[in-house]
Amino acid sequence: MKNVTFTSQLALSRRAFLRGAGVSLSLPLLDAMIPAFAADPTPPMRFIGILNYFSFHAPYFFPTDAGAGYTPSRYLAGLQAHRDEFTVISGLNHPEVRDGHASDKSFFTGAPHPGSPSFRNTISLDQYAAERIGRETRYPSLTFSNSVSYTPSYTGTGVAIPPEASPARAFAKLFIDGTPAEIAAEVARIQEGQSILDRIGDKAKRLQRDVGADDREKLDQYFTSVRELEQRMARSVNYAKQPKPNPGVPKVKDPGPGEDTTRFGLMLEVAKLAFQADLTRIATIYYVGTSKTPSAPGSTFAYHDLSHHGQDDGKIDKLAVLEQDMLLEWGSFLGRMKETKDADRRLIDNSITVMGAGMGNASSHDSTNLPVLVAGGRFKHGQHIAFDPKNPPPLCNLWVQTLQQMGLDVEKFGSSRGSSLQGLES
Amino acid sequence: MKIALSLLTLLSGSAAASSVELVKKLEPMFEKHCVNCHDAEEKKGGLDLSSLTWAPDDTENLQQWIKVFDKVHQGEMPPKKRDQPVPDLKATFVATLKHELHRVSIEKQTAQGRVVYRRLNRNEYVHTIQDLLGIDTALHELLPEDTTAGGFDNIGAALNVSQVHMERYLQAAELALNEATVTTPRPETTRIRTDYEETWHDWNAPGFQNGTWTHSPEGFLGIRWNGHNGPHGELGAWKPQLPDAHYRFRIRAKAMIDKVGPNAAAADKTRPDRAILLKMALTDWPRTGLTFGNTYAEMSATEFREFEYVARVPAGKTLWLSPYRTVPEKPDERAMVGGICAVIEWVDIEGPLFEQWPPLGHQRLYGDLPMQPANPKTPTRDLRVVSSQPEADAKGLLTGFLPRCFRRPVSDAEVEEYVELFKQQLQLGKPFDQALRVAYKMALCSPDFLFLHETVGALDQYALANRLSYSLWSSAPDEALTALAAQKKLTDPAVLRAETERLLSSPKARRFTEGLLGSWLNLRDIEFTQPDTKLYPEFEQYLQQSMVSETELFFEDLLKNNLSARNIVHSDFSFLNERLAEHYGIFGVKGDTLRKVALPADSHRGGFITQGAVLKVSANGTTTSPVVRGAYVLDRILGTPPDLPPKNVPAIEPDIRGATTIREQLEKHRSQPVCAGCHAKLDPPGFALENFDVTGRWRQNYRAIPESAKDKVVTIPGSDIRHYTKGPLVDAAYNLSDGRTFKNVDEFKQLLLANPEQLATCVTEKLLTYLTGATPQFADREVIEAIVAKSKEHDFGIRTILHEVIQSRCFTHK
Repeated sequence: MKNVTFTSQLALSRRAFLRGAGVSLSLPLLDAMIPAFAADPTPPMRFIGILNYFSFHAPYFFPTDAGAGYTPSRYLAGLQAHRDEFTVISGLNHPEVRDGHASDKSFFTGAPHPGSPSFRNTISLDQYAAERIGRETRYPSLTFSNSVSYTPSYTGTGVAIPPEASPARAFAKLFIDGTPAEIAAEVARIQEGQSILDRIGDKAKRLQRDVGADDREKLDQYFTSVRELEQRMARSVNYAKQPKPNPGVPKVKDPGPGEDTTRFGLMLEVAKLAFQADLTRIATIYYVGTSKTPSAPGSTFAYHDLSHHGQDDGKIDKLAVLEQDMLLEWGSFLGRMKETKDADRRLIDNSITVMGAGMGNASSHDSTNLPVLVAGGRFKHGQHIAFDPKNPPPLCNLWVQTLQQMGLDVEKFGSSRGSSLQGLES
Repeated sequence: MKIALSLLTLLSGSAAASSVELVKKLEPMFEKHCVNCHDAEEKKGGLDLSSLTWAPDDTENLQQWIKVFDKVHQGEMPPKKRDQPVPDLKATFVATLKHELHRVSIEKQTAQGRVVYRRLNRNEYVHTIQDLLGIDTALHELLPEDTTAGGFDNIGAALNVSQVHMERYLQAAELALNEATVTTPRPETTRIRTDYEETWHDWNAPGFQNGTWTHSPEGFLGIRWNGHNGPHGELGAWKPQLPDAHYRFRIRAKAMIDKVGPNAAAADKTRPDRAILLKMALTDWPRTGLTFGNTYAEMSATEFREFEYVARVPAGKTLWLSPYRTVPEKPDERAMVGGICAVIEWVDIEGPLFEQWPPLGHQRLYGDLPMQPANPKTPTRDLRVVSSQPEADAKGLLTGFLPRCFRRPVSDAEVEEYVELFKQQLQLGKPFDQALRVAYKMALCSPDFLFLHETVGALDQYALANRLSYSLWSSAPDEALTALAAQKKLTDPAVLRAETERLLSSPKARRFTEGLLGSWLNLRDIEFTQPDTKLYPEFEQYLQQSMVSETELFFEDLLKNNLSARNIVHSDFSFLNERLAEHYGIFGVKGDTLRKVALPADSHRGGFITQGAVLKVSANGTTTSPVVRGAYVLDRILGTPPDLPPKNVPAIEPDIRGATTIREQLEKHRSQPVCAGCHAKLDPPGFALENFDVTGRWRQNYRAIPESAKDKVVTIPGSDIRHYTKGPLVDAAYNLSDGRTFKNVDEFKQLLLANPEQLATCVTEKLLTYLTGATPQFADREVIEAIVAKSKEHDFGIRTILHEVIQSRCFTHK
């Protein structure tokens, strides 16, 4: 493997790699991973969705003027190096979603009334895509979160996908080969699983015979789950025997508890490496402030506490430090996506990144005027698209547009009305 | 006639005939009193009766009709200011619709049962596996979070399965089986006595001067609060000899205030009137320095006492001891200034502890089969269970294990399926024990283990045993309960009642308290908020733990003594320790143990709604919102959850700068007609609780953040806290939607107590939901009414209600 050294102008994540992985500035290039596309000259479109639990302080987030010539807001000022790579959208919401903290459950799904007692979620767009294109990669999708209790992604039956909170563990899973004994054990475990699944699916079928419609649905879910996992295991047996790609970078180490933004940066980086090696094409990240004392300089309160600022300027300032930091981490990620080649384009051109929140105002738990940033893909960027918060198109239109760019034949997703957002053009 | 049309178009065949009747009876009321506002044009409250079809098979449609029924039945609609229907018209309407809704509901229950085929939720899964295999491995985080319905996390209809579950069930089963399998001879249980002098590596002079360590007059080492970074109280040199096993620590300790050395001149800010607690925990210091499994006990300042702490100690963890004093004017531990010490005479460590050997799980999985080392050179490591007659042994063991695992008798044919898998694995070349574990793994992933198997109609003996034990223990029936099912005695009401009593008297019934209150009162989310450290500097972990314990002990007391459902709103007692009592402004309660305390008449306390834990989970950490608290009370205490807020109305934005109060903001909000209706019900309970801040402390004034240096900040004698200023006066007076007024929470409670039936109904509904795994349906209403009526004979006693629910058809039928 050929190792090329990055020069210093290449913008590494300020913290993700420098602090988190504790490495020096020179890193080998990730060329070992590029041959994944050698056979297919057109690299696939990837998707990375980021959800920020406590939203962004709206007055600092949204520009006051719309269009391509918008004046950067306080938060977006730090992202101007990448101005042409992203679009900021205001005014959007999900119709029939106004459920405070619970609204996050519907961000990537669009399912109505997430706070109602009978709520049942629907599939999130990452899983929708994973069901269709996930079989083409070693892992159908990656789901990250700072806190295992919060997930951005849901299955078709509305089941929360347990997220990975450790970038180090994800990195190991993706890139570090086991010992021969470990590989043999893994293969044996998968084969055991196959033997078991093969037998228990029939049991559900037998039980199904003497139950009513609602019950049958539950047993059918069980049966379908067993079949789906069987199919996935059939693929993973082969993968388990294959060596994992070498990302050519040092092992990722987890940051300490409460270092939420560093953790976030590492998750972005692991997702990027996985995209480069075509180990997956789909990732979601949930940024949940977990700490009582965030490590961001200048900030001494927990994110949740700060988000309930009650208009206190002191608290808003501290909140801004935290949110700005998180956005800068995202900007750094965009920078690296720009610098990374992907066939004849840049990786950023083949990766749609959407960042947003389920609440437009975390202080009042309001679920309108959601902050949304779209970057990469084949969109025309560099603008602020401002919808009227009183009468916006559904956010799900963006999901349809995203899925279509990923090559999926989708006309409708969730609560979409139409297949695009006006002004966001390809 | 639009209504008639749409009603008709939906029904066909024989149903159409009865629907014509239904339409004829409902129509006069709709035409005369409803469609003026609820038509396609005006669509008031989002309801358009002209397009509301009768399609009760559709859940949402059915809910809509139930809402129409409730609004008319309860007299909310038509609105008071409009023409009211003549009594006959209303009576016919109510009776007709009630009859239809009941018929539809009971028909569905008869055909399918009221509980949807239910899998074990995460809690139940973990408890069941732990009880089955005698382990306490943490499996929670392996499994996806459960979805809830009406706040409850054990509702069959809401619990779904995905391939993620299947993948995790395989992993969890493997982990649990490995944990239960023994691979060494019995490790020797040792007992050592140690102290900090021996086990803490020598910090030499600078370390000891760091303020963390000192000596008592007796010459023992004292762990001293250093006021900044927290004390380094870990037992640094001790490691568990066998990680992940249980150890018993006995600690002989005494409280001391350090007035020697560098502290001699320091002013005593330590509030000597307050007890010093010993905090016992586990820590991974120096990795993160965090502690977990925190337990607090009060030390004596005059004599050494022994404290016991039993914990499962993972690799890399050790014991943490430190002094802990809750000073209510100080934020958390970090600000507890100098001087307080825990003097440790010695620490006894006993372990690893085993109740039996081989442990229960191993015994259940492998019986008494012999063990041999995998490698003769290492006779004490990697032992494997071996068998000289593998197939017969496997069959024998599976025949014993599967009924326990599936919680019912298992046929020979079923056992054979597992034996087949075992044989297949054996043929692949796996050793006996490993092949057997694959069969066990299959059992733990099969629907027979993962689901509660209930068939339509009256539950059979085993299904009933399962429902009872999952209700009260969140786990499988024990041998006694299973035996009663086998003898076909459990369906006898007297036996069912006696078993209910027996299960409740077990320590495992604590799971019922935790599971029920976790859902009913949302105590599950107690950690969700961190009170603002400037506004509420006195809040800390020990206080929070005490609050949760208060509510749990309170409920258990209501249950134990069959006290009235009235107590959820008001009681003349609660469970307090010194810390919590002070937080409530009640003095004279000493020590760390929560005990039943008679509340002073002027305490404003008593009942769930004035308990710290409830007041905390219904606030956001910075501000209280009457809307949020109001919704909480309506849903969880009065059993009348509010409707969803209308679209496109901005939510109230809290403001802690002190200029505007939430009352002023809400007045404005309510002036919008679209908001007024719901807020008339939401705001009163919320305002009644406004005198309680986000930590559950009583307040006359709001606390505000100082706007400028000139603002006068609050100082508390003996403390240096000056973070907040005195904000506007709290005004908790309001009126209920029926016009009755109250000045404060005390008067508000009295208004609610006037209708104990409503409180008993709410308790009944919540118990019915939790105990059966299904939210109440229309046909359940007659059952609930009967239970409430019956409980009235016992002053709406909670234990009576619990028994009546368990004896009801809702519990004894699918």
